[in-house]
Amino acid sequence: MKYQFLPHYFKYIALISFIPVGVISIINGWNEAHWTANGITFQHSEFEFLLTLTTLISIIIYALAKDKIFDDYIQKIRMESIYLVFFGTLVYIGIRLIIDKNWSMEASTLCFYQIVFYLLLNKVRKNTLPD
Amino acid sequence: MKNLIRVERARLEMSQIELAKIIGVTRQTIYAIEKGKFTPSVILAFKLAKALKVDINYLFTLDETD
Repeated sequence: MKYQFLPHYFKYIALISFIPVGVISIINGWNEAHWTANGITFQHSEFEFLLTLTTLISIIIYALAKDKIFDDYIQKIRMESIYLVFFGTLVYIGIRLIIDKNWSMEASTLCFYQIVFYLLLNKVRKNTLPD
Repeated sequence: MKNLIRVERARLEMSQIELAKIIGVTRQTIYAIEKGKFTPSVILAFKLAKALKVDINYLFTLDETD
């Protein structure tokens, strides 16, 4: 695609920064949720802001980096994965709202889960083709 | 859409990987086209025909269900 102007190795750079920062964000989120449930409220720190910013920059770099080999079939798998993630998100939100009508989630957290789910799905679908 | 890629590849004693390298796609793409799981774009179909040294109309034929 024309907007992918960065060399392919930028995908690895983006993943190397995205994965650890993402894991830290999840742990941080769980900790916060745990303490909030126990009546202790947290204010968003500079550290959390940096985590979110790093995640966003990593995602943008990943999206702008060229693919190793770009072809129609890989593009088809990618589009199907995006569709599945979108559909899965709708189902997930629906189920959570049925369970608890006051349920809410931060948009950035949802976005993060979507990206992780997309990356895993895409990888699995590409690797499950027989040799 | 039916295709004779596998037959023509065998005629030229060419592996899926070799064909994929010639036309600049992944081996998975060749596999998916051969199995009929994926219909290639016009450009890719022309590249395949050229790489296999056959006419595109011979390589790809419309199925009754298409």
